[in-house]
Amino acid sequence: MTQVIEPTISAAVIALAKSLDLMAFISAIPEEMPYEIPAEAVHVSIAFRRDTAGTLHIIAPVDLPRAVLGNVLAGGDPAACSPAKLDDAMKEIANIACGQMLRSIGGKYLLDLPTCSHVYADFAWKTFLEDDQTAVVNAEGIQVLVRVTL
Amino acid sequence: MDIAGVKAKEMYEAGDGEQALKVLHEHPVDLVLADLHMPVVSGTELVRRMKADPDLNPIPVLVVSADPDTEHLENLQAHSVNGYLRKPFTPEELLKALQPIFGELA
Repeated sequence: MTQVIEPTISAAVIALAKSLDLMAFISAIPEEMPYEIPAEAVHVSIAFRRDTAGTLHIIAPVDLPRAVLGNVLAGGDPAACSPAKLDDAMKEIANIACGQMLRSIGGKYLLDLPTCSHVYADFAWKTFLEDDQTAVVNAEGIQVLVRVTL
Repeated sequence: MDIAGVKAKEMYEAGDGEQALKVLHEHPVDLVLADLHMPVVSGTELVRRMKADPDLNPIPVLVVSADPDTEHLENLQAHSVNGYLRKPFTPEELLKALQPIFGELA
């Protein structure tokens, strides 16, 4: 019988760092709490299923998709990008990071489509931050919250 | 538009498979780069509809996906698409996937 390895927050952090590097040459390193709660942030989540079911969540200020697009566009103006483009960039980050995370632990998985929403100060930050499957990553000065729920 | 060092004259974007079919009927293209996971009409369904349409059937298709296993991508390739790329991919990997379709490009 094959043992199923469940995705952990460490695998998620490594996968996110690798994805940001490969996608947009952004270096990201784990950061100790505290996390500075932004007034507005983008919350993207992507569910996976088959060997194990769960969801990868990434929450970041809009500076993150802007930085990704800025590097990908190579000279283009990320400030001119529509909110839809910025949301698409966040979904792409989640899609790629989730694929990387699951690939790193092996097994068979199917990914759902990522979903994106804008969250505000009244978001349930406390629940997120108290969960031991939550981590903070510093992506060139931008704090990014990563969480895995199973 | 520069893609992996290759000059593309025009590039059209579509947010989902349905939009992609609309674009393909409005503009002649030399290549479709389709994500496997798209809302409304998925990449798999887009390829199926393209292959069933005599006007769109000849257009080469490269499928991209972040899926951790490549089983279904390989099945797709066996049936209808010209290649697949696992996201994230480098410009060199894209060029390599384009070469069997267009020959040496850069």
